[in-house]
Amino acid sequence: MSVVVKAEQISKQYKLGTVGMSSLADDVQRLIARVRGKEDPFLQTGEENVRDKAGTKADSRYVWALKDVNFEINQGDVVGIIGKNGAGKSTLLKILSRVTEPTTGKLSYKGRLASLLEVGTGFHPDLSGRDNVFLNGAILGMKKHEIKKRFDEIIEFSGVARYVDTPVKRYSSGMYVRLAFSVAAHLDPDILIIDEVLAVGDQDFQNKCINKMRSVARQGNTVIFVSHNLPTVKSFCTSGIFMKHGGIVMQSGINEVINEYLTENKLVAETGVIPDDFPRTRTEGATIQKIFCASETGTFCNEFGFGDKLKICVEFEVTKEINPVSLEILIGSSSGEQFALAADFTKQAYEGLSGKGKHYAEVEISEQILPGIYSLTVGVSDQASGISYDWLENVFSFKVSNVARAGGIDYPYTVSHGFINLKSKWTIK
Amino acid sequence: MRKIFSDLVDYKDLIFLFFKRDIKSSYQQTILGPLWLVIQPVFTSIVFSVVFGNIAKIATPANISPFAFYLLGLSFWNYFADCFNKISATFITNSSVFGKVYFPRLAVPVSILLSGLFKFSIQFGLFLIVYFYDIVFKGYHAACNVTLLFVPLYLLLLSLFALGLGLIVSSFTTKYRDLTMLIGFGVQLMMYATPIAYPFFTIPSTSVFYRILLANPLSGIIEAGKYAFTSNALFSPKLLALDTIVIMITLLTGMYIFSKVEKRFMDTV
Repeated sequence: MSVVVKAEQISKQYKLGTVGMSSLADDVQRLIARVRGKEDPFLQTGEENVRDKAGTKADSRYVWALKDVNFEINQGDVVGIIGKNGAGKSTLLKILSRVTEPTTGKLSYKGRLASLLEVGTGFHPDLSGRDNVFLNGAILGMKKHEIKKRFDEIIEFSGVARYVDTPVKRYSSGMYVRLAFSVAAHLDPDILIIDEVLAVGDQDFQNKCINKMRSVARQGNTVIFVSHNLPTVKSFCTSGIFMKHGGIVMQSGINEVINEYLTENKLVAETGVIPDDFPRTRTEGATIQKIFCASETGTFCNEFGFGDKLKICVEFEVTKEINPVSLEILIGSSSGEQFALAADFTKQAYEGLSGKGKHYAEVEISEQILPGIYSLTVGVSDQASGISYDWLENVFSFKVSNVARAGGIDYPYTVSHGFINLKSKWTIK
Repeated sequence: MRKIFSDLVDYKDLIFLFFKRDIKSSYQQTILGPLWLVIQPVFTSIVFSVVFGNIAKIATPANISPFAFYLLGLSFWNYFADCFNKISATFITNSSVFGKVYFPRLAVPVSILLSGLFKFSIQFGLFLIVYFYDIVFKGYHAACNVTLLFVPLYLLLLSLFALGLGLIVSSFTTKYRDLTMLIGFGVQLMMYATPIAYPFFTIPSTSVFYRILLANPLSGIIEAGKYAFTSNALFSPKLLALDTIVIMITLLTGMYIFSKVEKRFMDTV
């Protein structure tokens, strides 16, 4: 397999704040350093890009959106880049698509590269659909005769044949993206870079796009794809890159990478204690401090046999007088969908949980969960208004194997069919 | 340098489509369409005739009607000013496209020159009509001479100068917008430092302004353009050669700075 994209020690630094006198002063310092043959003084400073923390170093006006990123992508790979907001995914895509240059490091690639960071780049509202197809195609790197050859195909795919000679500003937003995406889908480059643009159009059109992308990938072209939609990434990509705070945590097969992404919070996975910097949605009043799974006997556990009883334990603290709260626990699959909810909707369900101080709740799940890796989402919210005091997504993950404990019955298949074996009563006549 | 040209040739379809977009979209939803290109210089020439000719009593060459004289100067000037203004704003007006897709950034300025040439040819056509009308019906003497052959060369020089200056300005405005302010009124003022509304020879050669005019590379070129049609303007091969050198230096500087800036301008624009 030949390497088509190679990133060596790529870093990208950004300055925070506005452009003005202070940035001019920095530029002057940079210039002086360069004239004296010294290194850029600001490359030494700069912090890891943690979005929700104020700077700690003396000079934290500079952050590294990417820091020392290395990777190689082989021909024919369909690579999914995943990571939380601010992990550096978009910056990396910008560098890959040559919109901007890395501050330090080197990127090389082989073949024709096209990037789709947005649908309809360069569409002019006053021009007709026909003119815009040509314009947009040329901006994306197609030659005029190539567009001409595929014009009918593009219009056919978009399904807006009737409007082709009307200015695109008269289009509905759905028609607009359909036309724009159709151009992109017929690009046929060696390396295609896509940023979440698949989330356009109605369900029907989305499926069409994904199938089109798949066929592009099957022809041996390389695709680099960024998305938060884990199910799409999982079904579409063959390998993955997991990014965090401007660095690469892991590059591997897509399943391993997604699992790593979901079980990323090691501290939580090993002790159930939630670290202070865990991303959460929060209003003052109550804080979840601990969440973990336990075995039947009540001891901490994150690997279960098939058919084991499962307990979920939550510890939280109420810090001021608040209305009665309710507790919700959701179970999500490794592709990110949440498929089951544990909550009690009766008024009395959580009596006694609202007083100031620490509280402990234990939920017993009696359904059989099928083998796989799962993650828990937990929230404490106001019973009446539904406002959440604390909400933690995919905070704890656990594994269910297909082997039952002594005396139980093993899961008979190698692939899990669904997530839960419902408590069902069978009558055979 | 060679890479820049081969890239541009690779993207010639795009340049042409940008050109087409500019022309088509400029006159969408107007009734008169490209006729506006004619109306603007006609009205400006009328105002010039009133202000400079009748009120200030600045004489224009006798072998051409004042109206045709102003039209000729304006068509050259408009070409330069229009291209320069638009190229100066390249990075700022196109940042949304530049931020999403890579293509040789120089394609935009080059397409601006093309659409400028289109507008020039209409305005210049209008001048030619008036010029011949004057000769045939008003009895003006046909004062054109063999230097007419050089007019395309003058246009090329104007283009390269607009390109060079525009590239420099647009590169400097990606981070600090101060220059945009200067350009806003600077171009308008520059017209008065170019012999457009008055003949070059009305300026006494002892004045400081005379030297300013000579230092402006546009003066030599536009005067030579006027000479081709009137045989009564400054035509100095030496000055033209000097202007060409200045323009080439401007152009190379512009292209160098532009190529440095285009790689990272998205971070600051």
